Amino acid sequence: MKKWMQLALGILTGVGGFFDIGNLATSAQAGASFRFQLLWSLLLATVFVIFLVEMSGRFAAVSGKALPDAIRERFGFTFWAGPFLILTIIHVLVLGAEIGGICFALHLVSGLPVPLLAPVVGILVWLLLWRTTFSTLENSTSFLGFLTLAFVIAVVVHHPPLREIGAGMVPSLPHHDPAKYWYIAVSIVGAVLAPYLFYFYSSGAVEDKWDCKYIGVNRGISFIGMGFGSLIAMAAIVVAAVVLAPRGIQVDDYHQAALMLTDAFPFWGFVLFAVAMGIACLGAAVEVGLSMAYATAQTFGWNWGEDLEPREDARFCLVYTVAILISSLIILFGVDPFKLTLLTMVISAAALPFVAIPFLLLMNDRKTLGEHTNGWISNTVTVLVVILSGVLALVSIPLTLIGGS
Amino acid sequence: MDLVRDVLDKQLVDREGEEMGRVDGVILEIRPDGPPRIEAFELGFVVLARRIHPRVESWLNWLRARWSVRKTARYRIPWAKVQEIREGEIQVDLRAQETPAYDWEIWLRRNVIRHLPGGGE
Amino acid sequence: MSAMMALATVIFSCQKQSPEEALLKSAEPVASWLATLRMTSEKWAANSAPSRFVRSTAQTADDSFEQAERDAEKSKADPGLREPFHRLFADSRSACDQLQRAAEANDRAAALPIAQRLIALQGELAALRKAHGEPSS
Repeated sequence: MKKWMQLALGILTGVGGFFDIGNLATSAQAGASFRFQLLWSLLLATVFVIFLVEMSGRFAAVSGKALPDAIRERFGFTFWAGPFLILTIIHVLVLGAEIGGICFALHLVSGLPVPLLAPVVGILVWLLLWRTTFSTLENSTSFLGFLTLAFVIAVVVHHPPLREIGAGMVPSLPHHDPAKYWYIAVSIVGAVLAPYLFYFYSSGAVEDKWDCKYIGVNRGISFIGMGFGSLIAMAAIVVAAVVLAPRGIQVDDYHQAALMLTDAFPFWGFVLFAVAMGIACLGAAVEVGLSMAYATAQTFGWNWGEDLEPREDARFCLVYTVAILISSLIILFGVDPFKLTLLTMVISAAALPFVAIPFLLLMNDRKTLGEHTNGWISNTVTVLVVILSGVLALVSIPLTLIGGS
Repeated sequence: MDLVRDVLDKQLVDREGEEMGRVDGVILEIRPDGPPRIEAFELGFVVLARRIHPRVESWLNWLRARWSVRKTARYRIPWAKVQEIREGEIQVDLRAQETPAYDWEIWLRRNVIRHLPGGGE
Repeated sequence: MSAMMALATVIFSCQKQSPEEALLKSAEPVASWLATLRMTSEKWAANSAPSRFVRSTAQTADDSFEQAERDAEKSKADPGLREPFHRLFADSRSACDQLQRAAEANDRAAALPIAQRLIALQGELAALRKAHGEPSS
C-alpha cells in the first residue's frame, strides 16, 4: 500500500519537478519561432531523462547512496573537484533563473518591479527549506504542480492540427534561421537534462529510505512522472505555436509569453499563466537549493538531510542559504531573468559530460549494484547520452554566439 | 595501493553512526621490512587542497589561519581508531561532536542557527 | 580548444554581415514586439489582461525599439534603406509611448485604436522588409 502511495507521490513529483523555468522559456521560444518543428528535441531529451532518472533512483535504492556521495567515493576528490565546482556555479545560475521566474510571476499579478521582488522571493524560498521536511516539500510542490496542467487543457481547447504535431515529433531541418533553431534545440536538451534533477532524485530516494523493493516503483515514477512532465512542456510548445507564432510574436522576454493562455481562457488565462509559472519555478527553486546542499554535504562528508532540524545539519543549511542569497542578489541587481535562463540552459547543456560519464561507470559497477547493474538498453541509452553530451559541449557556446539574439 | 584506494575519499562515521567527514588524505608508514602501512587518516579542506595543487593548499591555509573556526588545519585519525570498514563507509571509535570534524558545525549552531527562528533547542 | 572555436565563429559571423543585412536583422525584434503590443492591446480591450501588464510590456518593448532606432541612426547602410527603417522604428516608439500612457491612465477605450495603429506599422515594416529581401541568417 505504502509503495502505491509512493508511486503516486513520485509521479506528482515528476510532473511538478519536470516543468520549470527552463522548460517554460525554451518551449515558448520553440513554439513561437518554429511552431511544432522542435517537438522532437523535447521528445528525445525526455527519453534520455527517463532513463537517467530511473538509473539515479535504482542506484540509490540498491546502494543506499546518493549520486554525489558515490561519485566522490568511486572517482576521488581530484577528479570530482573541477566538475563539482562547475556544476555548483551552474546551479547557482539555475537558481537565479528560477527565482527570476517566481519574481516575474509575482510581477504579473502585483505590478511590482522584478528586482524589488527578489529579496522577498529569496526569503520565501529560504523559509520553505528552513521550516519544512522533505516529505512536506515533496507533497506540496507536487500537488500545486498540477496547476501547470493548464497548458495541456489549453491544447485541448485549441484543437491543434494533430498531423503537424506528429510531424514535429520527428527530427527535421529548419526552413529558416538554422542557427536559432539548433540553439533552441540545444537549450531544450539543457533544460530537460538538468544535473540538479538527478542529484535531487537520488538524494530524495535516500531520504525516503528506499531499498531494493522500490526498484519497480522507481521505474514507474521515472517513466510516468517524467513522461507526464514532458507532456506539459510539449503542451507549452503547442500553445505557443498556435497562439504566438501566427501573430508573428517571437519570445525574447517573458512579457511576450505571458498572454499565451488568454486565447484558450479569455478570462482566467492571464492569472493561470502567472500561477503556473510561479508554482513551477517555486518547486524547482526548492529542488535546486536542496540539490546543491545535498551535493556539497555529500562531497565533503557532512551530516545531511532535509528531514533533520536545522540545528542538526548546520552546514547543510548553510549551503542552500548562501546559494539562495547569491541567486537573489543576481536578480536584485537587475540581470534580465529571461536572458539568464537561456544562457544557463546552454551552459548546462555544455556541462552534460560531467553528469553523463559518471552514470556510465557507476551503473555498471557490480560490486555496488550486484545484479541490478544496467542492462544493454540502459547502457546503450547512456552511451548515446555521453556522445550527445560531448557534441553539445562543443557546439553550445558557438551556437549561443551566433544563434542567440 | 589497493588499500589506500579503498579508504581514500570514503565516508567516515563515528561510533554512533553519525557522519564525520571523508578520508581526505592518508598517511602511510614506510617500513623497511614489508609493504607500507596506513598510519592515519587526514581530514580537512587543506588536505583536499593539497591534492589539487600545493599553491591552493597554501592559499587555503592562509585563509584558514585568518578566518577559520578550525583550530587545526589537518585533523589526524590514527589507524587504531578504525572500528570497521564497510561497503560505503568506515566507522571509527570516536564521537563526532568531540572532534575537529565538527568545529564548523558546532560554531554555526551556536552563533548562527540558534539566533534564527526555528533554530533553537 | 572550444574557446578558440568560439572566437573563430564570432569573428566569422561579425565579418559576414553587411550594414544592409545588419539593418534588416535589427528589424526582426521590432516586428516581434509590434506583434506583441498588438496582441497586448487587443487582449487589454477584451479584458483578458490588466492595465499594469500593458504598461510593463510597453516599457519593455520601448527598450527594444529604442535600441533599434539607435542602431539605425548609426547604420552605415545606404540612406535610401536607412531612412525608412529609422522612421519606422521612431514611429513604433511613438505608438508604444501612446500605449504606455493609455495604460497608465487605465484608458481601455484607447486600446483598439492603438491596435489599429500598430497593425498599420506592422504592415509598413513587412512591406519594407520584403522590398529589400529577407535578411539572410
